[in-house]
Amino acid sequence: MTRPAGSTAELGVPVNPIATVARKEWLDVRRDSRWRALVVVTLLLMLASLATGLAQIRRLEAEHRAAEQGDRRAWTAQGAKNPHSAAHFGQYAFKPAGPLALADPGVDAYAGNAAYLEAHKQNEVQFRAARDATLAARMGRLTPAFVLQTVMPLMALLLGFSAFSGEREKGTLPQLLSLGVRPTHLLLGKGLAGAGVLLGLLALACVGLAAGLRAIPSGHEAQAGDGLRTAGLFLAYALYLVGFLALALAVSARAPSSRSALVGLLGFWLVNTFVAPRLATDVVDEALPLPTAQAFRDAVAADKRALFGHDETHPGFVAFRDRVLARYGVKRVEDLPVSFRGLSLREDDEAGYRIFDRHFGRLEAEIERQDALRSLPGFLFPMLALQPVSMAMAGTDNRHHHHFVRAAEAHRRAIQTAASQDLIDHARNGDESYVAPASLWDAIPAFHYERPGAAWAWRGQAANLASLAAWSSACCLLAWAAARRPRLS
Amino acid sequence: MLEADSLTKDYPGGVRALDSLDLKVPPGEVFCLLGPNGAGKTTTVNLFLGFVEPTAGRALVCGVDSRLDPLAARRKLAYIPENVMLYGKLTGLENLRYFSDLATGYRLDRGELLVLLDRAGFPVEEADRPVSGYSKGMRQKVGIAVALAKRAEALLLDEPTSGLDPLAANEFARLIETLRGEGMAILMVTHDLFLAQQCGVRVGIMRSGRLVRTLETVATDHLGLERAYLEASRVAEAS
Amino acid sequence: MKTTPATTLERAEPRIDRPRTSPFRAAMGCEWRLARDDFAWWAAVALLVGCVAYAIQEGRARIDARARALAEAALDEERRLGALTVLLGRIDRGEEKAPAAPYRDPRNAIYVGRGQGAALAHLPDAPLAIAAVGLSDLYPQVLKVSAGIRDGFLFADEIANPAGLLHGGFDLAFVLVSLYPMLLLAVCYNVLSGEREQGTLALLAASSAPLARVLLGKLAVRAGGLTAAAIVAAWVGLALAHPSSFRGGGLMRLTAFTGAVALYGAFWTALALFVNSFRRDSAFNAVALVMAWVVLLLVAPATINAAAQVLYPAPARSEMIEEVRAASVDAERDLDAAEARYREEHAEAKPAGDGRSRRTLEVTIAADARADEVLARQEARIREQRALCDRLAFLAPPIMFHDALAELAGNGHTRWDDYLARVADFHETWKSFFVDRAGRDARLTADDYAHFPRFDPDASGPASADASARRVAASLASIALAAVVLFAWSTRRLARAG
Repeated sequence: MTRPAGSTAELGVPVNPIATVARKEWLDVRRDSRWRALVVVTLLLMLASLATGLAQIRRLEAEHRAAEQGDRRAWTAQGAKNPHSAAHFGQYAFKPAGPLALADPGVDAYAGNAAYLEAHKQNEVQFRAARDATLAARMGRLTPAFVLQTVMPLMALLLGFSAFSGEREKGTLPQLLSLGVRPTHLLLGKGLAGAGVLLGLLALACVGLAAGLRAIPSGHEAQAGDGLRTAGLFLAYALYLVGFLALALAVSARAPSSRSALVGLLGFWLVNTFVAPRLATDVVDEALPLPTAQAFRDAVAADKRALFGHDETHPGFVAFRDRVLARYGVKRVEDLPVSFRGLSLREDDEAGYRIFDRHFGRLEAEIERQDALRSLPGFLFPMLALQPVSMAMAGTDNRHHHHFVRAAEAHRRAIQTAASQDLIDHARNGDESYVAPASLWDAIPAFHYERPGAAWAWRGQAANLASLAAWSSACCLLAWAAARRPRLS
Repeated sequence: MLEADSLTKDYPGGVRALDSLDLKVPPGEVFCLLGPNGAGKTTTVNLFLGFVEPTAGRALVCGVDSRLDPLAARRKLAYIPENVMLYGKLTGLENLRYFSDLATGYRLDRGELLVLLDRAGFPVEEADRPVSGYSKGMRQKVGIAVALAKRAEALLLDEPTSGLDPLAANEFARLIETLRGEGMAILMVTHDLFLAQQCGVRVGIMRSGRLVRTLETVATDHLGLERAYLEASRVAEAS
Repeated sequence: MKTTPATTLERAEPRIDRPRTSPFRAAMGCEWRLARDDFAWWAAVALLVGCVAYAIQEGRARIDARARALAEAALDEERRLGALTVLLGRIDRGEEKAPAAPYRDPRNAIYVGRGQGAALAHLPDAPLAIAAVGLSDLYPQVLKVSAGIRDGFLFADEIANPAGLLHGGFDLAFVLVSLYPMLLLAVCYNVLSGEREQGTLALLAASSAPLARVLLGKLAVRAGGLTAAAIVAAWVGLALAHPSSFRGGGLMRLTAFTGAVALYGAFWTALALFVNSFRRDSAFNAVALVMAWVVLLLVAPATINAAAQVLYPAPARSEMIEEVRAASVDAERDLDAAEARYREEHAEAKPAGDGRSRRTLEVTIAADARADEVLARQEARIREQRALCDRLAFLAPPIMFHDALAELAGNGHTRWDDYLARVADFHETWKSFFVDRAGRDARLTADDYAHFPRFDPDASGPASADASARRVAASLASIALAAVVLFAWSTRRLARAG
């Protein structure tokens, strides 16, 4: 900007109008006692949520360790025993609470945390902790995710709703514009100040989270992926909050009054935060219904009827016996060099694996399809896209749960295979009294769950992150368009 | 230089707020616009500011068309509304700094800002108080200081003295005289015939969107102006 | 009212015998005329009615789905028992040889009791179940009570998308607990500040009518209309979608439900009046009231829950697993029956002796005793946690209201606790029925099949109903108290000049 010709005063230091506006807005916020109170309350909420979350996770972690040790004790204390009998006794796979559940406990309380790994049967994961909580617990959970998803957007709205309309009502807007300031510079300055407040708080939350993660005495080595996951959380929440701020600025620039801007924005906040997630639950359940437990178990049982199990009169069993006899070129089971019982168990198990893969795979796919449908309107109601990203980065969504389920099932199969192999190698045909030495139980490892990496979590959320980015950019464009010609009267 | 060239503005609903206004305010002149409410005075100011777009004609600020390049036009002019409004949480000095930073793109230091406030007749010892306690007169003076900081070539005043006590109004009139002396082209909308007579070089009387009469203040006195005003209003009513 | 000629009116003193209108009723009349033409007010009413209608329809779908699941389970039970009795008949008549595997033998008491014969238990929907999901989505629709250990069937969960459980559905309780107050606040937040901003407050203040009385009149129309709309919509919706809501004590529950909605509405209206009594501008009121909504509906439950979780952490169910497994290992070792389960599946080759079945049985009994002990301990801990939550909940009317709605819908803690206790009792009955026979080495006969214990879903005792009624009454009393205190306080504040 050039100064008018004939200027007598020496030139001052050039200033950026955007920075000037941002500085002034920041000063306003800093001098407003209500804002100071709001920021303090939000920080306290975050702190309280981190503290209680930390206490919770440390307890869960200790319980998890105790449960694993207890189960190992029971497994190794079996003594000399038929290996298949031990396979029936089985092991338990306990789902560890990932450290990032501190940020967002997600579906953990609703998905169960223990899978019984027994012979012949893949069991569903049991013990939903939510069943042990009160009715009121489902109204809200004090977690950083809750503060960031519901309280912080409210703050974004309060920062933005009167940005233009308030100046208009005060009378400062025409004055500002008469100076020759670009209205979009006003927008950027105000946006910058607001985003500074919001992202500052978000960054503080992430710092608190990082500090919390260090305080979790995790038996599992701290994964390098935690940083990338935290970055994903920051990105998703930053898009969400900036979008809300931009929306508030856009509405403020065009609304007839601050009051109507506020009422409209609160309406959107309410719908986005509370109504949309619940409507989505019902719509998704009706559009893509899941089978009842009864139907699911019946379907598995129906398919399993094709397997011979322990039924030696089953045609499948007879056919398998004839195949084995032919392969070894013998006439009688007693002449086989290996344990026929072991072979038939392995054969039966492997056929069972295909059935379980099909049914559980379908159920998991149905649940993940429900989740995809649920987050589809995320570009309109960003909460629907944000929640899955938040849970995925925290490792507490359905997809992570299914990853655990598959890992547990893989371990169950490892136990079955080891037990059958021991029979095949060591039991003699016709001798029912074979027992494996107690050392075999030590040789079969305990279940150890390895969380999937951050890249895996990110990949699963590409669509939702794109939705969030689309919503956020649309809000920014809207703000830009609205602020180019702000309403003046 | 402020120049209106067949400036016309229709509002939605077929209301003609301004009807082919032709007007020229050269540097160093104060042109006062008189007229009853709804005569189109404020619309004229808003057209120069580029807050509204003309239906026909042009509003030129030092040759820049306000419709085609409102930002460039605004950079050349200063605007003092009926009520200069300031940010309550900031001090007078901080308000001035904010507005002058945005107006000029340059940061003036504290001393320079105080000089500007002093030239605007502002009691500088009040400059570091939050503005929530300022009187209207003090706020108008901060507005003038902004205009001074901006070194505007044209000044638009929209009923700047309404609600000021006679003493403050008089002081304000003298300030305007100073600004005129600096070579600004000043367009002032007012209801105050006395102020118009005192400051104006020329006075235009508007009625229903038209400039119905223009007088040179040297050629008349306050009573003459009043007579002309009432006459112009009656003529317009009769037609 | 008599009309006075204009000439005498000028000098006439107010006449004593003229009927006086109360400021409350005058304000109501005026407000009704304003509300009639107020688009925003009608929009709020329409939105609330729409949400209530949708929630009732969703509730209907939920109840139907539950009924279908129940029918599916009943069919399964019928098939299982049917197959067993047919086989039993054939064996008795000598048409078929008894199966070699004891767990396939319809005469084997312990195996039939544990698996094939397992009895169904379910909690039938209460008349008003449509109103609130409550606890019903977390518990399985049907429990398959077996003669095995209790945790074996108690924790068999229904298949559900955990994300759906986490977010909850759009039930009537959600509409009334969360949306209804928000809409009330939307129509009441500027009851005083709006008057000032449109410049009519000076006139109101200059009249001799007490301000509080006038504002109450206005609120009675704005909030009362909304509340009435919600209640009428709920009654009509229930009558259309689920007429059985009115039967079997439903009418009384519905009356209590109506009272609860009115009281809860009164609480939020009082809160709006209270915030207005600070005489700040409308934007301030809006922000303050939304903050109050956030604190009472979200932060308070979350904080109470967090406090309870930290002070009385929920028990680790894994402890129970560990204990039960240790118990069964011990029992098996003691009984030298380490391969009980193995035999169960592998005994076709040789006919099973009854001794094996009994060992299986005794292992189960030993493990069950231990499981019962752990379950009782864990339940006690959960109750402690819940008691703390219940005490703290008195601070937050929305929690109380939600709890009252769930109780009235029969999906609250009282009724489910009672049901689970009855299931535990039934489990004992069921178990002893089969254990007795297995202990005597008796084989199940067709007569036994006809006399299997049945779980009576409707046998809930009067004690449970009383406890539920007391809980609802306490909730409503606490909400009423909060509303009265707020109204009284606001009236005092408004009485002061300002």
